[in-house]
Amino acid sequence: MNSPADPAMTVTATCHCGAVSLTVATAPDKVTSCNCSICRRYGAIWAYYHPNDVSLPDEAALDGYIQGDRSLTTWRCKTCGCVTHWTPTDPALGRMAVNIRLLPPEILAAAHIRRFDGADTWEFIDE
Amino acid sequence: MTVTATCHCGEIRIEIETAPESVTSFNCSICRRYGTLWAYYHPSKVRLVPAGVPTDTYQCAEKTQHFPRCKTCGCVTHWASIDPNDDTTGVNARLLPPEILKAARLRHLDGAETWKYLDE
Repeated sequence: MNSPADPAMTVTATCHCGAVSLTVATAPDKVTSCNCSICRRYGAIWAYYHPNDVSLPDEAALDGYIQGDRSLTTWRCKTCGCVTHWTPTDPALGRMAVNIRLLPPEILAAAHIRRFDGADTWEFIDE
Repeated sequence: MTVTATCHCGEIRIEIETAPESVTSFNCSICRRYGTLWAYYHPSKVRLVPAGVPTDTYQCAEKTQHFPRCKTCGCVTHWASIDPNDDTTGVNARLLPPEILKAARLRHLDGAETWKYLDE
């Protein structure tokens, strides 16, 4: 995390085996469930952040997968396989996402889940 | 009618004899992270294709089941019991065609605490 964050506000996503964790500056209030070919298989629910607001894990603990238009890498723990986050191939995008299924369950329960039609229209379905 | 679950990159397929009538969302510590929806079958009704395809695999602390995933794209394909006499395996229904998953009844099992279905 490059920018100063209030430690009382940070939340940490942790994979099942504990080898990978990411701390984000604030709990997400809106999160996204996407139905594109990769997100529907991962079952991930994404919370978007500026990379400066996320403390990233060591890549040595991760396996990455680059698909399709090669615009982003989806990362998972090398040991337990939990999908942890994605990062853009072009850092200038200034945007990444953390899989909030790895946050404490009460944070996911409190978040508003938006459904994104990444398979077809690229619009939110619930709006 | 056989239905096929496929990981994202296509290296692993799971052929099952019939589409699932229901799938289970499980809130235990591993399944809530994997986001998997399990379709349960007798192991004889499920076929990994190609047979013997290498996978990455994770075992939870209890070591009762293992969870294979594709080595390339990381999609969790299924779980299998360590006990060869166990008559159940779970296929990750998120890898099935969307219309088959949509047609199945979604059930919620409280694996974190009571081990009861929350929808009954």
